[in-house]
Amino acid sequence: MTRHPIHNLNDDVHQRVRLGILASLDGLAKTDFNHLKTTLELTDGNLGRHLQALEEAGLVSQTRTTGDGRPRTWIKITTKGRRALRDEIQALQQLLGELGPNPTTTARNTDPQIETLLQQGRTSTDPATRAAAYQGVAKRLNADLPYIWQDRATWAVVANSHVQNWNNPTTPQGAKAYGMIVGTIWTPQIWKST
Amino acid sequence: MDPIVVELTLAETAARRRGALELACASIAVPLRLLALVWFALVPVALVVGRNHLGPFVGVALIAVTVAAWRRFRKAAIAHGVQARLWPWILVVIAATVGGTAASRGGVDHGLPLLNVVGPFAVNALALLALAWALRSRVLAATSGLMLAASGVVGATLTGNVAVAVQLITYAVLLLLACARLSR
Repeated sequence: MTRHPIHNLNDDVHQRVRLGILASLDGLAKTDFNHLKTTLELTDGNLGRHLQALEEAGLVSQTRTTGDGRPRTWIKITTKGRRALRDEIQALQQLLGELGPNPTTTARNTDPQIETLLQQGRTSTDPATRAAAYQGVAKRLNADLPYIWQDRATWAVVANSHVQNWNNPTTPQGAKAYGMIVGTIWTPQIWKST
Repeated sequence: MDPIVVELTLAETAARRRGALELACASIAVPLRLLALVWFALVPVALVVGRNHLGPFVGVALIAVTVAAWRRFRKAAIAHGVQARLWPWILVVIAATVGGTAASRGGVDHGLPLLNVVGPFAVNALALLALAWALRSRVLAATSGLMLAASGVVGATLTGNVAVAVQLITYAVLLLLACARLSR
């Protein structure tokens, strides 16, 4: 059984700020605390905590100097840190390959049947064909159940002023649908196809 | 895990690495610019003293450039909080000096004038190509390619001290142009 790429992610590195720190140090001899703080747009405390974690893992080293008249903290990436950064990038690339980009469904669920049905629904103007296509999608989702919505999402949609019927729309069958002008989308009903 | 999160993380990490490498490139432009000036200064030496006596001048000049670069790197670290690595430059210097000398002498010893005239320059260009790889710099890589092409043309059309002088000028001009792009 092959090991899933998600297991290759390093817990010490797999964090946005820590990856940012290592990437900002890679290729340079050393940088000081203030430079990193400005580059990564962090507070002293936040950066300090992440640096401490990285130092404890042996991925960076910190040196305090007062040579030029003011105290400074210099941060260097270690050989282990460089290797960890390289491995993490490789693991993320593998993971991305495994997950696969699928831009046509919100949750990136890959299902050729759903893709075909969605395409049929989108490209047809015949109400019967569209209804059949979307019923087919509902059946597949019901059978496969790739994800369950657990939370409501707040969306921002920007549109040209000529776009009509945002609010109080109706379904092709004449029933009332939920408009998008409210700004919040939630699941008011669960439809189960048989 | 959402692929978008992974993609964004990768994109942000790549951008941060690129930012760090751009800083490293801007720093390495300091010794490279000095090297270009050294090449200009060596033109009259090549024409008057002769191409086979450039070694000691090149050696002293490269040591001086390295010391100057080290001082500049330290000053930049104090002023801006970022210090670039000097070792890639030191490797270039060692490769260029050892390889260049070997090529020049090899050309004389084996009666190969093309190796004697073009060899040291080709070694320098290849050393810069290695530096370009270390810094992921397309500008430096393209410059190295142009240098090699220039040496090819000079090797096919010119001979002796003139060929060396023309290559010195060409290499210096190309390197100065590259440095102008690197330090942007």
